[in-house]
Amino acid sequence: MPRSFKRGGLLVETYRELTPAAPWELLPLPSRAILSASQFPGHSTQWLVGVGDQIEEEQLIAQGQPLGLHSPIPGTVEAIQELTLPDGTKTSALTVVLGGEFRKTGHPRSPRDWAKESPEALKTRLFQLGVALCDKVDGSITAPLKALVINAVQPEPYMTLGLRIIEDKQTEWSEAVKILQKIFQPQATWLALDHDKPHESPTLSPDASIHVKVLASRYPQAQRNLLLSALGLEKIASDELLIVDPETLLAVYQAVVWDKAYVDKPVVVSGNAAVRPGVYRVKIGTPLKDLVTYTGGLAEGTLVLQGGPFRGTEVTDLSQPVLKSTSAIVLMSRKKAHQTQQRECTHCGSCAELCPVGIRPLYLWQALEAQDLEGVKAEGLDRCVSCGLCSFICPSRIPLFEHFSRAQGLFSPQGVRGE
Amino acid sequence: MSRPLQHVFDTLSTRKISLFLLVCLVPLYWVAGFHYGLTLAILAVTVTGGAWVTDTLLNLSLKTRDDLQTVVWGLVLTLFLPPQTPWFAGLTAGVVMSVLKRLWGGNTGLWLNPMLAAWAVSRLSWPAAWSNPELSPALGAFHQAVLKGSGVSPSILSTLDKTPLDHAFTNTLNNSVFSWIHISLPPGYGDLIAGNLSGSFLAGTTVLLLLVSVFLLVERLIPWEIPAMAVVGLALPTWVFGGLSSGSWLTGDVLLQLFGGSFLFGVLFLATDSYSRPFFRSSRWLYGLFIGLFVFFLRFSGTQTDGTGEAILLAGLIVPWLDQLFQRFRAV
Repeated sequence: MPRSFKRGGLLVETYRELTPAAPWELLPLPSRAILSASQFPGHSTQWLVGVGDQIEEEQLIAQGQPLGLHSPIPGTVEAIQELTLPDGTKTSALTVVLGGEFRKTGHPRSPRDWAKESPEALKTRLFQLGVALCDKVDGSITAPLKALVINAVQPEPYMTLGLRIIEDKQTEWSEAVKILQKIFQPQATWLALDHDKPHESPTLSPDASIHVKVLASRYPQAQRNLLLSALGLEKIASDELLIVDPETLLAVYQAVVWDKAYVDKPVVVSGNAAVRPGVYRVKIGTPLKDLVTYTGGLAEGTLVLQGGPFRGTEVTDLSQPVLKSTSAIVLMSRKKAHQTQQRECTHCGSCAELCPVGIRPLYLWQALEAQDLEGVKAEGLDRCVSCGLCSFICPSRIPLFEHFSRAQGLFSPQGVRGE
Repeated sequence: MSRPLQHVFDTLSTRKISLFLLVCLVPLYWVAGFHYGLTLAILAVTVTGGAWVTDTLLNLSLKTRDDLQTVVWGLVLTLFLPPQTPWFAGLTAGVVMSVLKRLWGGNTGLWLNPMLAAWAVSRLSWPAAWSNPELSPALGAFHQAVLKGSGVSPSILSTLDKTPLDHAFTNTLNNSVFSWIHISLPPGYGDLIAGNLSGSFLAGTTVLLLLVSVFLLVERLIPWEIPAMAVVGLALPTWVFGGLSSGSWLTGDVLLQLFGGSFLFGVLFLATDSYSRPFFRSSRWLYGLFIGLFVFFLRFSGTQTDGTGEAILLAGLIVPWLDQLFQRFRAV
């Protein structure tokens, strides 16, 4: 029996059969790229170019702490405007109109002998080329580490990018692991996988230094604390541990071995309403409309999600761009989303049954409604991992996840969460 | 207005649960309708109508909505009442049920099962309906015909424990089936399965209830822990102590106790009601077990012939305590 976290959760369909092993298609270049100053939640960059400037492919156009943002296409800066991302974040966006010469794409590159470089130089280059290290986007990580964890657990149904990279790009991610091992000198390296059918475990031949752990396919296994619990690493302090996903490994490989800035990325298009599901290689900044149209378009009544069915954000405006943090576009039929109006709570207990951290969501919600701060604290708002299972399972469709997310945002570290 | 964060949901909604429960009640009503016809129809309309009208008025005044739940409850409560219940008692029960739902149901987190509370009010207020149960008109006529053919006086009905139909059924089964495996079925099952018993709308629904239970469990409409543990709680002591009246241990008639009275219906439709059952899965194991044990004690030590309603009400008293207990374990 594969290991998993201790309680709650949901055994879910993975829908891996929708995106079987196949060559990744390259999406045609966008005629306009929309580059958001915020590519990851909570991270932003400052523009280094202005309207009317001519820019080159892979030119550094914005700088943040410590990540840079590069232009995916050559062209002219047409505008810098405010952009509201699907999750409601307001940021600035720069529009580049395609034009000029490609000086990188189509030209041969030679691999770098990175083994001769110092760990610090490698780390600096990663950040300069715009590669974020997952939960350490701000770069706040120092060697040596106790553990490096490669989180290839499928985060949600349909979100199969990690598995596709692990299976299809074994050479690339294996080398990326060696690069990270050199930079961060972990005492141990773990590869966490999951599979819904025991006989379908990926055929891997990883480096002997990697401990492979196959876990049960149980949502929300990919969540940081639950993953560490399933691996038995929960006692390692946060600053002695680095968790990266396969997508990041691919970006590390491209940056360090081929000296390539993070300007394109693989995105999975899947879902029960996807016409041509698969993995597509897309330039950062490509409007989602281009991606959706290329993969077969949208039927009437399709729900477009950036992310998975549990935690994904609905995209109502398809002019939104692909971000560095976009790993999946899930197209769901609204009929199969089972959206109904909110009803009164029937005290069924399903929310508590599935909660992976042992919260009583119903009572937490009641405490929030009553603005009972002591009750909120006692019911464990700070333990909520925002997996969305309570809202998903609630037959009365009470938006528990929304209430908790909003409340977590409201309570400052000096308040409920930090006490 | 904040943006919704959840877009995809589980297939079960409150409306779907209510509709599925209504579907489950259809075959039970079909059998009960065969036995009691217009009596059942009048009571179903008064109980359910009273409950629905009251709940709708309360919903309008409180600006809330529900999905046919009161209708389901009304129909469940009707089946749990004796056929002799007068229509005005049914109407009162329906109204009381809807009011109690508001006072003690839902997210108030309290323990009282509104259906059973209304049933208790009705029982205390109109005890006569419970004291003189009658055989259904359809079965009464069938009985008369059987007895006429056999030459036995119809008046013997009141003196017989088991009917001739049951004797014939049991003998046939024992001779043709159970003799192969050296088992002898005691009398009583024929009457039980055919509904050849007096006193309840549920007479004759045993086999259907077994089929309905499969549907309820497969569709996740009820938590399986409650009926499963209730069966254990009743079956185990019955098997061990049930035969003591005839002087021997480990000989109690388990199946007759499980399928007798309204036990199956009670543990499937009343004990699993989400408003009053325990909140945590772990509490439900003990809750179910207590129901089974209470039924055993009420039937074997008390004056009750059924005891299911009383047992579920009694078990409801410990629900808050059970939830408190298991919340402590969860918090560890």
